[in-house]
Amino acid sequence: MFAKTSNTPEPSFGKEAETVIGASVKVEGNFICQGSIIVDGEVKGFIQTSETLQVGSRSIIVADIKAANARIAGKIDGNISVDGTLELSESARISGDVSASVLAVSKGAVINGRILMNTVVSPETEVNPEDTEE
Amino acid sequence: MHIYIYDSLLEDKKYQPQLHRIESKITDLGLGGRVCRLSPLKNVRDMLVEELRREPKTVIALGGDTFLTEVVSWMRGVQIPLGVVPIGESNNLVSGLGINENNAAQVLAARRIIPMDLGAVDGRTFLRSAEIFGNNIQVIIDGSYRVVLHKNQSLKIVNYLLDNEDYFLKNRPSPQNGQLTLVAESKETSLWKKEKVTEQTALNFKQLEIVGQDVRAILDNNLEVKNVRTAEILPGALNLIVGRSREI
Repeated sequence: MFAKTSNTPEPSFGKEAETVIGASVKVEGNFICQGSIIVDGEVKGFIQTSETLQVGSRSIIVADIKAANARIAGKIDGNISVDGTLELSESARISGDVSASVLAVSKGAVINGRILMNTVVSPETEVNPEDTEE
Repeated sequence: MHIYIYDSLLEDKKYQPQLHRIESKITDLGLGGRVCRLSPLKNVRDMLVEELRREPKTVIALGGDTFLTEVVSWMRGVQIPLGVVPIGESNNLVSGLGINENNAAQVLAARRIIPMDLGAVDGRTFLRSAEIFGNNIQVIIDGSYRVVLHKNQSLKIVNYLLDNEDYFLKNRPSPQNGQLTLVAESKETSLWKKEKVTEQTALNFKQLEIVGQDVRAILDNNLEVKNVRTAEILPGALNLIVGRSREI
């Protein structure tokens, strides 16, 4: 299974992930992980990770998603809530609401749903109440 | 006091020169102890139960992979460290633990003890991996989600890998992270009969339930378990003496 001579395919995204769901695998239920996840297959239910979620172009997801960051290239039927950056590539098809602090949408990506940008208070713009006192 | 348990296969005369060499080294290093040999009237379990009552400093298994698998299964949860002297037909299990026939005595003397997770399939333990076979296999992971696998995928539960075993992710399975990894692979065979991996899945878990037809497992390449239903991690279940050049 792990023969060195085997021609191992590269995952569709980086190798930093701890969990990978291959293209012919189906997952149903509450899929909750601590590390980064790569999904190339089908998921139904709920996906949550405290790190990055990467969804390949062949994947079909019918689930709400909660992640620190996400890169989406597949089809998602569900709401996506991302604390940091959400990247939608040209093959992304989203049916659901999207919330993120930073949103990057490639030409051709489709979003059918509301977009909510999380409020980020940067250190420079943060107002100190004492400074405003006369 | 150290307890040395000998594999019954070592009764074969062809192993005597190797055994004498190792026994001399052990004696030279001041590691002598009580020698226990398996017999038709005394199996590994009976012997370990009896010897562990004496609270030895170390239990040392001398033998091959099959013998080691059996010793490990009865040493599960025991705090007393296990040492290994690999002798016999097959010694693949300890090849990544920095132990070989030549350095085994020195490894015992250095006494580098690490707590190791063990895997268990229906209660039968394994050190490195368990291959799963069967039809229409589905797995339920940590009681929270179900994974449906493609019928042609090979399935393996991994506790740890050696450096020469290829793995497609940077974070390799470790025997000290408190979880096992389920690895499913699809392969294609080319015209020249060369196998090519076309797809991989890796899922970490603590406990899984296996559903399917005729599900069986081969643990550490030498022990078959039929009608498999569950697999789980046994965190830190074994205190193992390892060599400095270990790969884990």
